[in-house]
Amino acid sequence: MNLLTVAVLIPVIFSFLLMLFGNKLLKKHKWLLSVIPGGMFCFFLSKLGEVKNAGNIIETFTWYESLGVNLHLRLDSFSLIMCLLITGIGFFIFNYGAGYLKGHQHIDRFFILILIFMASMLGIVLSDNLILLFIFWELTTITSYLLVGYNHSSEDARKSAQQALLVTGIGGLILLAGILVLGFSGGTFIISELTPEIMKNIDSGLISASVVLILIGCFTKSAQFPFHFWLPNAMAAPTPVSAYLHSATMVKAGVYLIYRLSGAFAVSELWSILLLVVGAFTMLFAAISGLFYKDLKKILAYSTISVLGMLTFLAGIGTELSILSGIMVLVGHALYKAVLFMVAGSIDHETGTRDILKLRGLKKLMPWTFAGASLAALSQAGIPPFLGFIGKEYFYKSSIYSNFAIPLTVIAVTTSIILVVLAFTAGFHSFTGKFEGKYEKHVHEAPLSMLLGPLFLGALSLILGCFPGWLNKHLFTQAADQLGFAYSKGVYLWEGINTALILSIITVIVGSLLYINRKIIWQGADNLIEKRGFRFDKLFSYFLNLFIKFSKWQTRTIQNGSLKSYMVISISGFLLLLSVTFFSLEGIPYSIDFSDVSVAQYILVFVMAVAALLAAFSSSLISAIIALGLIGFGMPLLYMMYGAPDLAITQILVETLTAVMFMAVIYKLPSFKTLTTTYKFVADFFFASLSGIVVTLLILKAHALQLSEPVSEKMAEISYVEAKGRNIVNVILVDFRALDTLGEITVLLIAVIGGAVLVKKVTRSKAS
Amino acid sequence: MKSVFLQLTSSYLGYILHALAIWFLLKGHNNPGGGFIAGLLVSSSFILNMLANGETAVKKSMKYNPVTLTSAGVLIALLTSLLPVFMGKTFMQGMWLPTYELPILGALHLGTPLLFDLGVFLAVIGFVISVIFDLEKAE
Repeated sequence: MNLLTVAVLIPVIFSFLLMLFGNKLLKKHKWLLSVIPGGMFCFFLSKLGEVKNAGNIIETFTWYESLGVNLHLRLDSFSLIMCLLITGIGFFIFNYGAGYLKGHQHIDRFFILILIFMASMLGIVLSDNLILLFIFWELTTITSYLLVGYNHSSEDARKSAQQALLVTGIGGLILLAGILVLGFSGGTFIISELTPEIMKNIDSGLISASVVLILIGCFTKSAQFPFHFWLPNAMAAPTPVSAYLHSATMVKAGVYLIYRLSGAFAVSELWSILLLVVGAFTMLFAAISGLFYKDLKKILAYSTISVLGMLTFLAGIGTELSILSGIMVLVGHALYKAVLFMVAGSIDHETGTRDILKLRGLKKLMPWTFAGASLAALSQAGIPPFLGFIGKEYFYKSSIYSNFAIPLTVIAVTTSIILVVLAFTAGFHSFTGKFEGKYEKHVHEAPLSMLLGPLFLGALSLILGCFPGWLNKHLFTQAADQLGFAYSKGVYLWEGINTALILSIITVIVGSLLYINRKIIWQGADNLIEKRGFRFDKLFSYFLNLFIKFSKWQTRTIQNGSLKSYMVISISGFLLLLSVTFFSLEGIPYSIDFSDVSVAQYILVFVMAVAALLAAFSSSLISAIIALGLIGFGMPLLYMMYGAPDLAITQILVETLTAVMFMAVIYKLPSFKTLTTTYKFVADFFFASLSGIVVTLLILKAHALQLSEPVSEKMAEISYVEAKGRNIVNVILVDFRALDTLGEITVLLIAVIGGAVLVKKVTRSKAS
Repeated sequence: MKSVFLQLTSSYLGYILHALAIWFLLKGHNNPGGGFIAGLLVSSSFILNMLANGETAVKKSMKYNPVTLTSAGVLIALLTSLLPVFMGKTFMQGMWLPTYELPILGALHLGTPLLFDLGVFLAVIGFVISVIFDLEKAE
């Protein structure tokens, strides 16, 4: 049974079903949809034992053998952790989204997209093939673009979505380049085959190239400095989307790939240096930036970037301890950050604002939301016995036992202190204090669907934190082991008094003190923001504008609206390419054999030549079209004489249709006028003659040269045996070269849609 | 300006062209023909109809709009290519049913290439018709 493939396909199938029959179902039983991620969570949980015993489950599907792209799916402990997070948090997001978007006009689109997103995310973590991983990677980019721009009537949402798409999309292309370098130099695209032994044999320059390219891809996806700016802007997305994509899943994809490849790239020093520097800077920089904002979701976005930086940093340290703690931080963060986002959404939903200066004293009105929020905030702050506490303990230990202990530990502790402030601001500030009641809406508790996630996941942070040994024994240690970092010691909540614990206590105390004095920080921040002249997203849009200006200039120059210049440009390109082939091949035909040309053929060619001259010199449009038609119908006659009936039939039909299309527009065209000067006419004459001469010479040469066995003979031989068809033309079209045909009809589809849009636009602008 | 002669012939010719198209589509694998040619034939029957009865008449007689037709064609071709994957074969590998002997049409090989050709057929029809409609609308 190909269960993993089915698991990836199930959400896609359901999303297509929703597209077809969604409206009826979504009127009433929206929560039913959450059965999909819920069921899949149970499926992945049931694989826990099998993965633990066997190490991994592998599924291979032959896809396109001649291209070397096959479906390699592999479920090991690390993928299992990710799958459980994706489906488990997905379950609550589906419920939450049903409540949050209740009554929204396009709620069906949310579920359709989030299902496809979930499938692509599962695809990323299950792929064992780098190319396959890239495809799923791009799918998450596209779905996240559509999800961030979900409220497409808002310009802000559209702009943010476009920015996220461009940043992560460009990053994705760079990642592809890195994957290709790695795959071709290593001789395999299968991740589990990229062992340290293989990596050692690759040229170090190639390794460095692939390290830089792959890391840029991962950094854009996981919002690392200097590509971080898209994530705070992407907060224009509806909150369920942020809670899912921007906390637990999509932004973790980059980090996931870093951890997945960290075993292979352990050979490269550049790898760990880049990760360390970028990670350390990102986590500190983002945490400090978080202090500047008053928007709940922006605060959460910056603390997310900070934690993502922490994960990158831990991968950069690259010890057994740091990889293990990275996995712990990843899981801990996914659990508490999803909750905090959901809480922020609930507050926004009930009060109509996310501005923390306006939000106070919601404790009594939203007690259950507050309960969830405080559980999550305590976990983020690293209070024992929450999961966040253990993550932070190991994070500290990793820095303490690293090569540059003192500077790294200082950065780590500073970041954590600010994260405590951010956690308390996000989790407590809105609920404590005095309720003033100046809101647009009547404030009350969020509905059950929106409470389920915060409460359950918040409680989970606490429960899992109490039993770290179990989680580590079954998942974390084995995952680290499979990534190539075997950690032999156990993990305990209480490991005696040590440096990490003391640092933790200091962190919480200093963080709480800062939180109490938060108003002073905000005042200072306000002053700083006014002075700040430089912003990364501004820089990005500056370059984007430059690029748009360039492309406008280029379009104006090349596509200037004159059909003649289009012809000249495309034919020149064609001629240039042909001449290259012509001159690069040796051998010129000495003599031309006319003996097998019949009288009828001579006459036909003569008639066509006369018609061509007529078309060129005619002074009326209709006679020019008729002359062209004569050439067009002469062609199939020639084809017939040489025994190519398929070509002849096609040519006759195409010619007929072209003539009719001409007739459809001819009465709309202005009458014929001579606009060309004599000079231009002569130039055109030479250009046309040159094209004719080059093509003729090339055909003569092709006839004389025999570079290799003609492929047509081979195809004629196997046509009936392998494809059960005697008509080779057709067999080539629909069987041997069906991929090309599929591409061609896809082009037709694009042209049809483009034409329809264009005409609609023109007629609309005419009407208005 | 409507010509009675053209109107009458177009309706009869339409049937002939459609029948011919189906013949070409089904027999294309062994004899001259195929989805592309069949698609062009059907589209020319539509165009003939348009010349005789006007654009609105054609639009009324068409159940699906050109974009749908082309999309359906591409989708059929794509699904046909994917079908072998679900049967444990390679992407785009041909699969065949046993040969049937039919009256008039003769021996018929039914397989995925024919389905693929059907996709090409629909895509071509949709494309040509949409081009004609667009040209009609453009001023």
